[in-house]
Amino acid sequence: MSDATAGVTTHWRARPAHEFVSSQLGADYAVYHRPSGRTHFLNAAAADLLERVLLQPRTAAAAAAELAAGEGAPGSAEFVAVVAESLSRLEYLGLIERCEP
Amino acid sequence: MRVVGELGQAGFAERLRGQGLGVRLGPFDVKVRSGIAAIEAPLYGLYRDYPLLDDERTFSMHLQLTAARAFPRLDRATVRLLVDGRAPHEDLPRGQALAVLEWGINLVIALRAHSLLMLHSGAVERGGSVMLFPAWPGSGKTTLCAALVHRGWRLFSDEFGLVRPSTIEVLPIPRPMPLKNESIDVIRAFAPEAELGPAIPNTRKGTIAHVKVPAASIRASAHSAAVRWIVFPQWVAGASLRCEEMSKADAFLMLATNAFNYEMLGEAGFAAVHRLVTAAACYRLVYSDLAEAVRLLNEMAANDASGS
Repeated sequence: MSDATAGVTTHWRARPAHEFVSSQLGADYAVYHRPSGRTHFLNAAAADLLERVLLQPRTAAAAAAELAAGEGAPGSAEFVAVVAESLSRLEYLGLIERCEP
Repeated sequence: MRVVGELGQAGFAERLRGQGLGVRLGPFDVKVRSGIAAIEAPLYGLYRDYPLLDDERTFSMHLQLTAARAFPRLDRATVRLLVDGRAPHEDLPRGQALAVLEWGINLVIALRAHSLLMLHSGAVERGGSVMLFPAWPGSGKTTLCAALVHRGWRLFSDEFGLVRPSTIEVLPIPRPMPLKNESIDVIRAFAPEAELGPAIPNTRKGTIAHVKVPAASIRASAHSAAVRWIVFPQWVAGASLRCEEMSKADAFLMLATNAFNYEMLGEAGFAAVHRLVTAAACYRLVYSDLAEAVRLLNEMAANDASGS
């Protein structure tokens, strides 16, 4: 889900850890979101955003750089766009939120 | 504990028409009354091995079948199901009374048993381990269960995988298995020793005939067991036998989607499904030949037993 209001300076952070339970299932993750009672399936990168990268406020570019560094791969504009898309999706699911830097 | 058969067929019919028949179906104590004479003999045949209950108890559900007439077509004989005195759905043709009772029991369990994770699943046991067959109607789970219980497996249920949420234990609720349409002759040919109730034509699911549960499965129905295999079956006409291991994520998604009450249980449901798919080996089974599928599942159980 793309969001035109999410600009390059928008900062994101994960919702408090007590709001969800995450379980690894092979390469994927099942996440139970306590406030909504819904279960979501995330790939490893989205789970990494939720559980590590977005423990502190990050822009899409900063989050993409951290993810890329974790993978030992260089980031790119295309990768930042993919991460921005993921952030909008995670926000829609209630797993992350916009915040002040 | 006494069994229903000790009443004899006449005593059984008298209970149904009068005070009601108290019978234990796995974790549920059920009281049944019926004013439909035509179902007394087949119902006795299907239920004669179940534990008979006295009236000095609280029953999980009270079901009653009463004769009715269709309005305005008063020449059409119908049957009304009452659950705790109330009709949960419209009257149905009286010739389907036996199926109406069985559907009614399923309905009450699905609506009420929320202390358990309820999977829409067949479940059979061998060597102390349970194999689940989670599937939607038409996938062949009842046929598979009916076949396997005539090849040495114990029936837990052809319809419900009742899982205690904090464990991977399944509770047995062995009940008559409603074969549909072509499956009736398939099981007659596969297991000639199987006892079947009368064929009930023109139901919403076609023709139905119930397979009696082997007495050994009923006698053991107080004994739960842990899940070891989760097999998602799919009967496909003409398909070659295929059994592929599934990813845990796919199995989680399919199992959660398949449960009657996953969302209602909330986090307990999430934890229960996670526990099941991580503890069990998960497979997708496609088959068209019942004997081939049964052979494969028997081998799976035997190999696991020899490897453990």
